[in-house]
Amino acid sequence: MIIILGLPFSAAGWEPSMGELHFPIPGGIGDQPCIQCHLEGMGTVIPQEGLPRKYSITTAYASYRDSPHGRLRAMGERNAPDCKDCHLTMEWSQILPTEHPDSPINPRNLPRICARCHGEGMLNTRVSEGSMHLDFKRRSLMPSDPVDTRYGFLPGISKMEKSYFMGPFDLVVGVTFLFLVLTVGTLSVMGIFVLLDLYRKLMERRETQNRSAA
Amino acid sequence: MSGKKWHRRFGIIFVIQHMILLISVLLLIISGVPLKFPDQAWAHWVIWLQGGMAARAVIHHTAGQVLMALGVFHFVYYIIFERKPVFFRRPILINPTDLKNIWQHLLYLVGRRGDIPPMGRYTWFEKLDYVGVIWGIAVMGITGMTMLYMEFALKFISMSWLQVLWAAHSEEAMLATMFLLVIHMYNVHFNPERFPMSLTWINGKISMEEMEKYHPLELEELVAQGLISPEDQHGGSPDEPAGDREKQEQPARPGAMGTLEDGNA
Repeated sequence: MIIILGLPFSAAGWEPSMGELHFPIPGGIGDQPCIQCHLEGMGTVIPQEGLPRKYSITTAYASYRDSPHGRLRAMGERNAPDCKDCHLTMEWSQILPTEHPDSPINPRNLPRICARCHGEGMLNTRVSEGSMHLDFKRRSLMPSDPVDTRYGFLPGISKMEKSYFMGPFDLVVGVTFLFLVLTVGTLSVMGIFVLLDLYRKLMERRETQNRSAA
Repeated sequence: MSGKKWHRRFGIIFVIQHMILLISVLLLIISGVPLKFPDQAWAHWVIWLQGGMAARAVIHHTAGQVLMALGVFHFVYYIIFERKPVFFRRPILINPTDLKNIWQHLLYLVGRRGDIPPMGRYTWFEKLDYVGVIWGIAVMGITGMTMLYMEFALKFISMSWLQVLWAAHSEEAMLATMFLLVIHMYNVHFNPERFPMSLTWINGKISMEEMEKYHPLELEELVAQGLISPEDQHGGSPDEPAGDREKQEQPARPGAMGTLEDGNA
């Protein structure tokens, strides 16, 4: 039990139905998943009119679901991390911006977070040169949208993320787009050949059968 | 099957290579594709059937390394043992004639041309399959290795670029899977000429009819070199398949790619 804003507060006893919280949550809230409240359309913090949108982790969460971590977790891989494993929300005494030297996801600290699961091999790597939160569905080949509509809670295109871009092009989207063109192109061209071939062979077979019947 | 005459198109080494390719790619598909659809019930079923996520990882990584080893073996074998006097005359290589063949084949299929363009040992669609396999192994191998040995890869390239490679892994996987399930399945199973199944993948043989239809230039060369007698081509005893006789004639190189290669080596 701790005292915040003059009110007694126990994280373990808090329920989403009790209403909004306007302060950092010390020690996290029991085993409630972050998206319980921080997802638009769910929980109690975000859906209310007039509340600041910055508490939403919708886009960050969507990008997590698309990432190898999120996919493995969703498939039942217990070793795959969710929010609290990298953001260390259970140890929060205050919410720090990414730029703060004590933030667990500060580029200087990030390799140590990764090393918790991936081992010490991660320590001297370039893992912090890039965002873990790539939201494919909202990215565009030539990004021109306001950053907040693409990243929500995240601060937008950071310095680290600049290396995704080749000129005005977003490389991840570019590669995905390239493969989409390749896939649709190959399958439709070969699909046309398959259909024409099938049609022709079936016609030939019918002709042969008609001839032998006559 | 009796009554048909057969030509041995691929030696045992190539049939075994295809078996390894088939098994490893199937394992890679069932252990990889479900991860792209974590919201689907079938994806969880497929993972459950192979023994859960831990088993999935072992299957995927092992099959991937077997596939890459196969790629290296194929390349080395091809360069060292498939001796051809001039590299650029190897029949598998793509050349301008293939473009002409594609166009003429299309004209044939829409009824604007009487016959399929005469092709050699490899038709244009077989070459496309082959290019697809090489491209697939290269892309999936390189991007997959950066996932498996992420700590090593991250020393040289940034996280951003790693994610570009992983996007490629995921997308190329879908391209390969769909190509195999739609186009390749049609070619070898649902094609009315071959339904229910072509047996080439088991015994390396194709029928003489197919040789005449799709590989007339190769057949001409084989006849000219005396490796196939004209009787085999148009008549002869159906009880004595052409491929078997040819095998007896050339027991020294069972792994050779085919009679055309033998003739020129």
